[in-house]
Amino acid sequence: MTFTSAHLVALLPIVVLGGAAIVVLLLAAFSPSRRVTTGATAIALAATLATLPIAARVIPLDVSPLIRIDGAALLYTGLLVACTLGVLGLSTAYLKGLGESVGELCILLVTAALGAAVLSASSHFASLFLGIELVSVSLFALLAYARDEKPNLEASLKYVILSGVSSAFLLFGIALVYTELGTLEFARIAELVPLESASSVYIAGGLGFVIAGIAFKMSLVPFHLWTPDVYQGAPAPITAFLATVSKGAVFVVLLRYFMLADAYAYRPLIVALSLLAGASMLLGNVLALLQNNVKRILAYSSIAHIGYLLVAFIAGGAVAIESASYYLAAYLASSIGAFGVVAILSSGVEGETQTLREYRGLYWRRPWLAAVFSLMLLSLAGIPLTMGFVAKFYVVAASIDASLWVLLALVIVGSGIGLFYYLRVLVTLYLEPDDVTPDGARAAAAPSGHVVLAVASVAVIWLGIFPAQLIDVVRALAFTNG
Amino acid sequence: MLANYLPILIFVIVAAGLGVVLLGIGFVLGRGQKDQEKLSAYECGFEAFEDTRNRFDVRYYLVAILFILFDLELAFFVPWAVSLDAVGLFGIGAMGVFLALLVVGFIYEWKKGALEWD
Amino acid sequence: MVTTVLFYAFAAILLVAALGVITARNPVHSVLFLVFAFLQSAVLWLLLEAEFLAITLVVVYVGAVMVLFLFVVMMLNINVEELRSGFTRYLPLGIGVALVVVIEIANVIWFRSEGQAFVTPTPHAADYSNTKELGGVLYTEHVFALEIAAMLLLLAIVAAITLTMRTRHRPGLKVQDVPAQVAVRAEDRIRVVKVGPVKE
Repeated sequence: MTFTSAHLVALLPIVVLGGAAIVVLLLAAFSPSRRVTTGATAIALAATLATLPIAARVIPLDVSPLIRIDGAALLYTGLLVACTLGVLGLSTAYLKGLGESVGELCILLVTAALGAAVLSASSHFASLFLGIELVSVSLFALLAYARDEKPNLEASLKYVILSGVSSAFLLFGIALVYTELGTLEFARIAELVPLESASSVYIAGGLGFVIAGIAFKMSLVPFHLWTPDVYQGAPAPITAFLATVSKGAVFVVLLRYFMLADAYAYRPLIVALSLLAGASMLLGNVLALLQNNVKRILAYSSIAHIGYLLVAFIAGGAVAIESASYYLAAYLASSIGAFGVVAILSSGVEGETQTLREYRGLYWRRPWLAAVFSLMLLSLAGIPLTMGFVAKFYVVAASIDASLWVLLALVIVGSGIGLFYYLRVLVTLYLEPDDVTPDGARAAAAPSGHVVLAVASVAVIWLGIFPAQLIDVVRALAFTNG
Repeated sequence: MLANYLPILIFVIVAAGLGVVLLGIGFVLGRGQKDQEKLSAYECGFEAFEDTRNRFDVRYYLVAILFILFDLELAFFVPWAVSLDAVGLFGIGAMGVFLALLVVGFIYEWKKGALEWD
Repeated sequence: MVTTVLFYAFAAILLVAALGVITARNPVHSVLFLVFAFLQSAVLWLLLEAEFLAITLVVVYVGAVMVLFLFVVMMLNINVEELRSGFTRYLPLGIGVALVVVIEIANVIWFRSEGQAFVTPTPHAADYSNTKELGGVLYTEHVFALEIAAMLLLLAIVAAITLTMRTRHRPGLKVQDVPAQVAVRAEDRIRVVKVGPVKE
């Protein structure tokens, strides 16, 4: 195939991210200054966001059989790179508190963002695998960033081993699908699956294994066992990264598979995903009730949220893309905010600010942080005037449209249970501090982190009151593929 | 095309056969009653104090990982070298980008001191 | 005909080696069986005329990855007794899973392929070069995958260094700088001074 300049323009976000990785690598090797490296990374990620409108002029375009740049790809790339920028802002103060160098973090964040961009544009199983590996290997090193702390090493080791196993399942599933269909491209799979000559054993088995591998990364039940331990042990900003970009990118590639390979017509896959979604909503919410550690509560709640996201997605049709994209944006903004508060409070604190006791009376010590945390918790719970409420409304509307009554019931029950533990944390923030509560002033100053929280809060409130703006963007972009 | 590999197959069979024959003759013709005492480790008459395995220095691991990565780069080079006339200038450019990325990685390693032994 | 015989022979050895991996008592033996299994797989790939991939399997997988395996296995004090203790307890579950897999494979091979012969690949001419064909496609059509693979290798370099590098150059720690020591010149260390005769 011939590569024209249009291909290069379409690839611009990915090329800029690749160039950014090189530049940050050289900066980290040669210059010891923290500000230069983090500044350059922030500029590079912002530049990637700036190239999105430029690339939007030549969409939709198939660049090599592996990726397809269309409106949806650019939209999701934008969301995920923005989240990476947020995580970068949150981690500068955290690392200064730890006394670790910041160069490697910047490099790894950029390569993970590159992986997320590849996943957002993927239209082939090979780019699916390459993107997942880029994000995973970056996370292996990011999770163990403070190498001398036992919790970090434990979290990283658990993630490495389980990620390796799930990648093995993923590859085996891809191989099985290839055995039957002879192609790995999503579009060709769409043509070949409905044919009579396609043997369903290989396809069903293969796609089952692929879903198993992907469900691990999205921490759906029953592949969720690693989630609370890894989230708890990881450095707080990296937990934010895990909860947002890692899950979001894998969900985006699942969405692209369903759209490009027309998998809505393949019933076994829908049934499997419905089971996973239902179990995640139930177990995620129920297990969070028993936790006393804020990070674990947020981990279980993220499992439940991915369950809700899948319900919007299973509904199928045009409503599915719209509601799933909006829910994804709401989830990303709220998670960055919630984990961001945890990260800022943990900067420079030995053992991180994790248990619920340490959050007691936060409002009386750090009112701004408590207010942001309250807002994020309300958004995650789905209280009106926040983005989370509109997102949940969309999920309910989509499932009513598609008559998914069981899943709808689970959404409602799950949200009800979720309200309990969200309110529990919320109330703790406003209680009178007692003698056991540590002084909140010990966390280091984090100016960039506060900026990130401010942006997230504004997004959650603004897009919660005026959701139409985001919906219009989603409608304009996500439907420009053929 | 597979006929080209016939000499290698014969070589493998002869080598394997020779190994089996040599070990087999020793196994068949050799006498020996083995018991637990004869098979145990010898430590100047004492019972063995500890295991022979040492903790390994993580520098060996880093060297091995860096070796694997550059070995993989080599594995990408070989088809390019063989098919250079078919891919032409575009192929040279593509490989140039690949090489540049890995050279930057090499510079990073060098500056970080990962190539120093101590 | 010959290829069929060779296939069955090497596949049988592969199965024996794979069984050896999981049943060997000594972990080092286990790794060596795995190396043996990879060599048999390489020959099977060669029979499929994927010569470049066969050689790459040996050079990269056996030559690099298995060496790393051996490092870890030989230098860690793995207590095999403890690891083996649950064998008979989990044996029924293991047999169950194996049975399911065997039934699935048998289902496909015997029941679904009625009347369809397995198509053997048409052998190529004597000057066919799998490497050349692979190269012709990889550097033109799939160049994006190539560059992403380069990024992945770069990422692995950074991740390995981040995780394992323990630098000796902490502040206050004195280290020898061997190149500087070797580059020392006599003039830097010795100054010849003319001393006059001692007067009584």
